[in-house]
Amino acid sequence: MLRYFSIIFSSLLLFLTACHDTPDYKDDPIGNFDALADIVANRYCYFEEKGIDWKAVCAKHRAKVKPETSQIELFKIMSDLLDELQDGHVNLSSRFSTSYYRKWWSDYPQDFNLRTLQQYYLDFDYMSVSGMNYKMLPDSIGYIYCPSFSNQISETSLDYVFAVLYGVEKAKGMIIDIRNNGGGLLTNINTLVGRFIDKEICGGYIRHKTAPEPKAFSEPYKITFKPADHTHIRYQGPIIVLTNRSCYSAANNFVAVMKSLPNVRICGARTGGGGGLPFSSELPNGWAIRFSACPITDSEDKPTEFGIDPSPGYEVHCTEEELAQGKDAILDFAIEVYRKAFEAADKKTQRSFNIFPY
Amino acid sequence: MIKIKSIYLLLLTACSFLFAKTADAQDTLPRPVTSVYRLEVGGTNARSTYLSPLRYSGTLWGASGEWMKAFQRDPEHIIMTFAGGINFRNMLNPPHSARMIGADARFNWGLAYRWRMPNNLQLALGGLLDINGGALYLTRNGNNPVTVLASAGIALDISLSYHFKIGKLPILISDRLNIPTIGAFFSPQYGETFYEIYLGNYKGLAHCGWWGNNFGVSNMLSVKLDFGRTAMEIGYRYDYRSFYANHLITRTAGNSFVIGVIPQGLGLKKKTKANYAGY
Repeated sequence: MLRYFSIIFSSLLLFLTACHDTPDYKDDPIGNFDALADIVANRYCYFEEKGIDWKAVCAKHRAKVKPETSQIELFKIMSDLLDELQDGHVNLSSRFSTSYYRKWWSDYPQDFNLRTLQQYYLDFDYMSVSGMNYKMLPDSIGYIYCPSFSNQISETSLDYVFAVLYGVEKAKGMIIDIRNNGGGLLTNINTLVGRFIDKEICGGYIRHKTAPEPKAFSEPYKITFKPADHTHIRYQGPIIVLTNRSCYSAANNFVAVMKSLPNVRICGARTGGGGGLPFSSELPNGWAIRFSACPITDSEDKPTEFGIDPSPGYEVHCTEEELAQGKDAILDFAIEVYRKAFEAADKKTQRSFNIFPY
Repeated sequence: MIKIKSIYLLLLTACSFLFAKTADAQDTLPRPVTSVYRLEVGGTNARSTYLSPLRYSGTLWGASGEWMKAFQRDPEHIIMTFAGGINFRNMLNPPHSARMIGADARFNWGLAYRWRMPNNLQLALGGLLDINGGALYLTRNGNNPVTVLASAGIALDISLSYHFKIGKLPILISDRLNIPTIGAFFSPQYGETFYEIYLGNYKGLAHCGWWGNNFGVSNMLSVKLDFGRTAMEIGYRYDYRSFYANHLITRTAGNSFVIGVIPQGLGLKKKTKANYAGY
């Protein structure tokens, strides 16, 4: 009896839902390759910006896949295919490895050495909260090093950081160092930026795919940033954000938003990019795939996928030799900007002056 | 304005006819509440192309309650039902490399018209307000980890029951079918992340549902054994829901074994003229 009912209802369902069926791929090397190719073709968002002919690329790599291709060989072929996207947000994850496109940073100078920073500038003596390290540098410059946005930055922690630097120690300028910050939670950007603005601003735009067709994108949706409410400490003085090529994803987005603020300068090297919010899916063999799906642009609706340049006149690089000798040229440059500005400023109005003339 | 007034008057007249017709019956028939409390366990599968192209399968646990009563205005023919239930799904993808967890709750309220037919048969046909809410959560996804299962609408409610006795034990066999007809449901855009929804972009999230994009079946075949003061129910439920919007497909299905208890019994064993509302 139960079987009878199941058959009747299953038949009914097949009849009513046949028009919405999705392709089923075989769990074999070719089926998995085709599934990967189709998922990326339907959902990846930067084909046009990067000038990638995905069909041609897939055809080239598919020729290497045979029914007898082993899992490890298949993983290598698929990783090579995904590397063609030149995107640090693209990963293929299996039980034995995760593919990762590294050239967005490996082909560029690092411009940063954590040991040099900790030993020669922070003297291994700094405070830490919510993943942020902070200290008052000489000349009353508040310094915050934020190596990752992976952990949630709490409003309370930020209040303490700001209270220590600007309430207790009376910092006159701020350096936010995000070098080597590979990204994390985008909501941290809202938390941080809210402390540096006094009115709502447009920090960029986001789009998403509306259909599998290559050019089917939604209208840009404005990303607005609101100032932190008055129960929290806000800072609207001068800020220098230190960047290198390893600033990616949410860190890249943070730089794009901060660059649009008049009291902020971006100092160091061009960021690594990663402007596409990643989406996840999976293949018939259970391997997970992650890829950029929702492009985020800056406040002028320009792409951020290829990185954010430093502010004019603020591009600085560190050589490996200098870093080995304990000299961080990017941080030195930022400190020197403040020193010169402090020397020139009227002592009575030091705390409210604008060091960046417009 | 005149049109609205006319419709209002028409409804008022129709209602007064209904009340007039059923006023006598109201006082003569007792209207006990028939309560059923059920536990369910079985197999389930789900596919949400927002999360993954793969179909996940695993186990389903559920608990539900149903309260039925003859309707005051026409207790001989109209049954009022309120039902609520929760389901929990624990599923794996075919290669067992990822887990999907699902939880949902449903609420139904409705009226059904019943026909007592010869040979102890009873047919009931009605409509239900059908509200569902829940989610499928794919633990390893980042910005698209959840498919929200949210819908509200009107469902068809059809049942056929037959009662007989084995020895002195009254038994009621029934098959009950619910099919959503029209309503509304939630679906994100094809490639939209929850971050964008969090930012405030709610465009295109709500959809009108009909059989072309929101089909479902909930069928329950059950046997109720009426011991008099209490009754027991054993059954099998098949549930299927599908949503299609923004090029995204979401389907859930479940086959479950049901065991239930009816604390006050069905009233089939009593010689009094109890107007049981069970299907």
